[in-house]
Amino acid sequence: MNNNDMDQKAKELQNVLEQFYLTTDNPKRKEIDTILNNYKAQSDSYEHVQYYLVHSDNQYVIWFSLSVIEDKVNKAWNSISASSQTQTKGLLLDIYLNKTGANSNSTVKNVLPQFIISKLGQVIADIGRYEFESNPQSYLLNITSIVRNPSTSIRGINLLQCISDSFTTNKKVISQQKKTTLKKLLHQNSPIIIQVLVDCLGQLFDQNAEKKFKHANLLAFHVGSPDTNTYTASFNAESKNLTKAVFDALLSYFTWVPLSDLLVPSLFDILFKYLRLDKNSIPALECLNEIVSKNLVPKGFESFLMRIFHQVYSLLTDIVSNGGQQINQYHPEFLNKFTQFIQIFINNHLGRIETNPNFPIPDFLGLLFQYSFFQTQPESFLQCIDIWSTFLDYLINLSQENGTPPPSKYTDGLLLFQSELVKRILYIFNNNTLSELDDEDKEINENGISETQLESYIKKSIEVVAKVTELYPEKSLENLYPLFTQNVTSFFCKAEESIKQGVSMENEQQFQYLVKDVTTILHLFGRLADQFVVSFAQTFTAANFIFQKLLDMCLFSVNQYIYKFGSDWEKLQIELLCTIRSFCFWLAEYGNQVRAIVGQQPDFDSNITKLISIIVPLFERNAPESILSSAGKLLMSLATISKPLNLFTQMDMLISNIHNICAPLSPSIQSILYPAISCTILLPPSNVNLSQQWDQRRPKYSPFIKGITASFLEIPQIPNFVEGKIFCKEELIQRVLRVLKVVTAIIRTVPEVTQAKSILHDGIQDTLKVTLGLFRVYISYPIVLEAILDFFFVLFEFLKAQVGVVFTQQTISTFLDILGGDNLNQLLSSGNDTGISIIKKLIEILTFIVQQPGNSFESLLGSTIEFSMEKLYPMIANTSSVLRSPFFTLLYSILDNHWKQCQQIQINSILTSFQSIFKQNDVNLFKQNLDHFEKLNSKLKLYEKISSMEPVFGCSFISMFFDVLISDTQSVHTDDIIVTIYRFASLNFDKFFNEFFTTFLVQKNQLSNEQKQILRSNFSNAIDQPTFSTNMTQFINDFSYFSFINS
Amino acid sequence: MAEKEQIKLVLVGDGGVGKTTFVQRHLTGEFEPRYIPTLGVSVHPLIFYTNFGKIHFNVWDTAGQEKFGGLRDGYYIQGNCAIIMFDVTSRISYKNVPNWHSDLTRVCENIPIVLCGNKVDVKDRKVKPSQIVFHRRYNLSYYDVSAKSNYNFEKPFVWLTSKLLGNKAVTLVQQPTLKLPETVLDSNLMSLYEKEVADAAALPLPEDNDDL
Repeated sequence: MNNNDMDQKAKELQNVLEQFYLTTDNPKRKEIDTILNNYKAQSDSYEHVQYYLVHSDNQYVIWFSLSVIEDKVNKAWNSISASSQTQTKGLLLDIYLNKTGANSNSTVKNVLPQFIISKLGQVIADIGRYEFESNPQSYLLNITSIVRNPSTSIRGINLLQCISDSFTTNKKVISQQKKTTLKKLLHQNSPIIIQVLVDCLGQLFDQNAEKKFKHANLLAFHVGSPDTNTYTASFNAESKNLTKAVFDALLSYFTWVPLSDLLVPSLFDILFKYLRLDKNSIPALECLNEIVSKNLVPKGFESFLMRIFHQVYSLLTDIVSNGGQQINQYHPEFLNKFTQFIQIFINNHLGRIETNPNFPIPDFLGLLFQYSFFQTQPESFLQCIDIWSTFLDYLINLSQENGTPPPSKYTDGLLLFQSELVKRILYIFNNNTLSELDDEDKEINENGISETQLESYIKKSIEVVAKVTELYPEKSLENLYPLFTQNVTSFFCKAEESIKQGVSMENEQQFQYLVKDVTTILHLFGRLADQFVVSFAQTFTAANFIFQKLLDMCLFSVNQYIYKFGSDWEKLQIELLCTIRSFCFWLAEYGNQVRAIVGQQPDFDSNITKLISIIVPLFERNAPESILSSAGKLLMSLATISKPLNLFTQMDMLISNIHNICAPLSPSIQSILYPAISCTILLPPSNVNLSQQWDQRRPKYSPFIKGITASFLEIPQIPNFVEGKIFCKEELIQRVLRVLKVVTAIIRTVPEVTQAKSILHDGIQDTLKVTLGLFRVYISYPIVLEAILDFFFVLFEFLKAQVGVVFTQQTISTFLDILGGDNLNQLLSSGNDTGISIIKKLIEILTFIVQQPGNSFESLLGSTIEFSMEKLYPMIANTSSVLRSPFFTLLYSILDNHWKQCQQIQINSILTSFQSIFKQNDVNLFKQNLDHFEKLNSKLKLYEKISSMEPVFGCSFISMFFDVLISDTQSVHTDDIIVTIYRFASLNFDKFFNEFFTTFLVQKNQLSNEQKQILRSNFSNAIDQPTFSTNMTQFINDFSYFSFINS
Repeated sequence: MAEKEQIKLVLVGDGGVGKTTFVQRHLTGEFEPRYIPTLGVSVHPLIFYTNFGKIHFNVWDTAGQEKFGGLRDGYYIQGNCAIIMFDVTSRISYKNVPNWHSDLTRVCENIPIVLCGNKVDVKDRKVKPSQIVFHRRYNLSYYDVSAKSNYNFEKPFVWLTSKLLGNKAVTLVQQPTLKLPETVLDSNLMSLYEKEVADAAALPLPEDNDDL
């Protein structure tokens, strides 16, 4: 083929590639993708692309050509003649060294783009895998000579990085054995490589840097004679590129070379020098970060740790000098990396240095304190706070493990830190920063809570303040107490005065900031409320003062309707309620204490009475739902946590009047308030005559429940309720939904006391029958069905002993009877989200019943299995239904709890369904079901049972798992699958190796017999789990590798 | 940045970690629980409306499995930004992140990259937040995400947009239309309970003779 033809082909390829990258049409792109891959597979494409590399200047064509060569290198390098290999290597190296702009004297007009240069290096390194394996010294010598040649130095350095990436690859493009060999050889030679790189850095530094100034003996300590000078440098473009290349290469080795091989004085010396450059110090810091990131440290590391600490101490001193002005001289990215360094250092090595007398930790923390509070960006500030949080956690854990008080040497510093941190979250001190933070858009944080950026910032800071308080409770509370006694109480005095004078509360900006700050301070004290319990006696006076003031302020806020002054005031009122709620544990302790001192009970009782009198009016006016919600939850906490001695009698009027109060409220608020009243009645205080208590409470509970359910109970008695279609009316439907919602909420919060559950169950007994009857009536109204199922699920969960076996069986049978027929098709039709939700709820109920211990529900087992396997499973097995996950949880629960009660045919049916699902591609369901299998194996020896059920022990399951592994469809679960296979194999290793394994390989037609033999011989018959796992990993890699080169 | 400009976003990670599922939350509003391996590449347009105007990402959703790789790193050419995704329930997928990063940065130098840990809604999390440190090395950002619950779906795109615009403060002026979550993180209530349990653990237990 002549050159003209080749040029024409190059043009055609260029057009195709350009279309591929520019088209917006996915099918067309896939079509081109196929064309390109087919061309790659052509036998003559390898020759073609070498022509393109020399003659084409189009980056797409050049890149594609390199890709073709890459495939050849990986798949069939040894099938090429030695002379052809040499020619290709020479060609690539020539382009790499002489045509990529590495040579400053180069006259090449079109320098290749960086991504092609990188690709060249990668392919050259991939070829190098073959040479390096046979003669590593010679190979490295060649690269070293390239490094030492000034005209090609940068490419040599790039190659050193490329071989680090290429020789340690995880990809299944080389055999596992080769991977192991390459890594071992590279590891053995890494000291040489690193030294070459260190030498480069040394030369570059000597050529370009000079000392700026020298430190006198300003430091608190000396270790050896490390260089803490600061340097200035003027790197030209070439030197800058070279330096960057060296650091990139070093970083690549640092990610995998063990720390023990990095403890080289010359390496640290050069890193420290670069660290102190007034510019370009970031790469050195990144390398240090990588070093201190390593968790496994060898003996002797502590001396290097001291050197690092010394250097960083000196650097930190520089950064925080000049009262915070100096920090502005540093690039934000450098500071970000430096913060990371401190974080890693504290996280990984604090335990090693904290008690070492040579490490001046208090001084270091003093510098960190300054560094933290000099940060101007909220994000970087919070990063520093995270460091403090880690340090505080360390002290807390140390104190708890040793049973000793935290060290006193930190007390003053941490209290000062605490004070400064509090200032950061108050507008009066930090208006500029706080005002910039977003307080509008809510985002879900890592705990799933919806909050704004500002809320997140404040909350994180408060958490750290709380940790200091946990360490030094009395001194911390003493330190923070004035915040409350001065700022909060004076604020409310001012507010009260302003209201009297008729001053508008909505327009004064300064006042708005005060409102926000008071809200924050209340939040803080709510968070610290537990400390008033831990040190109850010592802090009672302060806590009681705070609590009294909280009541007074809450009373003020209720009387003045402060929520009408704006959203900040509404938040303040909510926070007041939440903070009082946080004191419920303290109230519980207070209540316990006064019982032993008769004279103090009235004072305690008056607190409770006052609190109730403050809260109740909120429900009797049109307050915002957010406030009503907080008030309701406060009542709930009062009843369930504080449990005041006389709460029942103190709430008597509210209990009697609760239905009038609730009538105008929304169902969601009713679902909070009614349960609170329920708990008030059903939860007697401790250490009292229980018999007498129940005698008093039971008569109160019945009318309480009837007041809720009466309108519900009368529904079936409405004339023509069914025949006249009255049940379809919206008002009735809403009535059913509301009552079910409220009763469900009451059941969900029932106290864990047998008597209480019994009273509740008595109260709703007639409701149960009516609800079950309505299930059939509302079969065509999914929303109502869902509410009914939710009601019964909660009922069975919380009141199963009271409900009893008979009623439960009757209910479940009704569900299966109604839902198991044609209705199932209707509910599961696509697009019917509520219908799917109903079946999901039913599955959850069945799962709950199946999980109950004993044989009480044995009669339901058969119908449950029948419903599951004969009706539901066929409908969802081969779909993407969301029901499959709870469905298989149900099947798992059946086997887990009732294996012995199941018939063999039922077990076979269930196991077959699991096996089918394992073969599908659903990674989440696979994971769930594999976990189920492991649990069943731990409890019931599932794999042994499966083994005895099959002619060749468990081979259908093992074979299936093997196929899953080599197909890569569940590659994210490889480790777990190997564990399962090991458990199967360990039942009978002889059969596994001699029967199963051999048979399995015979059936794999995509491999040659020679390849199969290699796989088998490489898989030793070792039976210990670590070796077995290693063998499996190698098997998977090599199976994929052989498939790859055969394709 | 002109409205008509389109941004090439490369999405990479091991097979099965949830790349296609993640990107399809926005495109069609469908959550596909079954794993259908991506062959070669699929390009999905994703549009976000921000305070800097309309941002159009072309997401190159690539094959995670080697044998379906097609042009492999050729799909990255001229990428403007990237997402590397792993599965927080699979340690091996996190271990492979450096490989993806290496391949990606070899082709696309100095582009903003987000590391995403997917499936955080699954209880059996094996890669804990404290163990995720790779992103710190190379100035990547990191987000826990969950395609199932839509958790943090828009965060990676907002961050990438911010970087591409020179670290401007980017906010969405219109929330992307997403399919309703399959799993709702009901953690408001759970976290409240957790706090109360944690607080209760610090208390001396009051005497309680209630019979059960």
